[in-house]
Amino acid sequence: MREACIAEPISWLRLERHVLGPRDPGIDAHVEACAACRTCLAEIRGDLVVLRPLALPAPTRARRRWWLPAFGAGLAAAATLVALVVRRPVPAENVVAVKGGELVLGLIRARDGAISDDATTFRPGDRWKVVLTCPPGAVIGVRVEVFEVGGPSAAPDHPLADAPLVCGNRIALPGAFALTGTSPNRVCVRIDDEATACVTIRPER
Amino acid sequence: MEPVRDPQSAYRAYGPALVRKAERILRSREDAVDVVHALFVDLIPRWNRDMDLPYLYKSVTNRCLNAVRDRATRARLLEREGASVAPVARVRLEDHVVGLGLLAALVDRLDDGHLEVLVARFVDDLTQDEIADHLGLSRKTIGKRLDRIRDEVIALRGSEVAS
Repeated sequence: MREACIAEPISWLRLERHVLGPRDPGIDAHVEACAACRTCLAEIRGDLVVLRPLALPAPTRARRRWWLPAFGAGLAAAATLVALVVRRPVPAENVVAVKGGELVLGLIRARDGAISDDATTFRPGDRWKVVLTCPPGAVIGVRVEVFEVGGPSAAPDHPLADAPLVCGNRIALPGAFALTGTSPNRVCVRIDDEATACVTIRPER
Repeated sequence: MEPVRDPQSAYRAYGPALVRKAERILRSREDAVDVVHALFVDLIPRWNRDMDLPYLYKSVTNRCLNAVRDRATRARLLEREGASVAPVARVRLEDHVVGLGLLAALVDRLDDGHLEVLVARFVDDLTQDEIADHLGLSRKTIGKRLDRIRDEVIALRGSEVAS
């Protein structure tokens, strides 16, 4: 895509700092007159980046207790045994079997600059992104469908373009969308027109 | 812009900007996310307040250039490039958009210093004065490096036409 700036373009770094704040009045004046730089600024503002979780290392302990690993392992084994006996596995709606393993659907919510990957509620203005975890290297066809539960239309919306996906760990689909209405929304991904994984997001009162 | 005091906050604040920057070089959002994540993982043990957005910008440039230098990664990125959206090109080099293809062709012909200037000028769209400030070099040095970069592009195009 070719865009000509009216003068010297505002660098991406300056545009990013402008968005992070404080605002630079010189940039505001420039982008008002320059379509190329305005496009770049809009691209930054409209983009939703899903970062991988960053784990900070745990602080090291001064004293090491030699028996602690064995005790921990024993405790974990006992807990696993109890869980197996007591709890029957409940199939999660957001997990579906695909060739080579399983696919896990996740949603990322952006609200006023805050990113949340375990949100279950929406309100106007939130933006949502779909992330999928599936067997690395597999290529699947993905269609995103959004249903308003009990809404006027039974036909789903398709807020994102259908796209092939090269699988991996928490791969974000291109694009983002908003949820609307006063009823819960079911966000589903249909895989190769066969399996479907869904997540239900409820409106905030 | 206030300096960010810890890596977790910096990651949240600057991570998206750095991913966008890496994606402009690599033309792959997934690889860009990985580059930025790996950068912060490495920076955590030696984090200090001087690691602001411009510093991290330079670090991302170097990481991306390393990725492009690696032949296997380069081949994979070039293979995927066609599927990605064409970038906005405001600054051109000899009427060429500096995309992954041109960068991959130049990576074996230019040293790190020249490649840094190439990315700063034609991918990040910094002015020559901004590059000088950003990289801590004189404007004259930046001008010389840009001349050399242009010469290499012309030579590259010449060799392509001849073959």
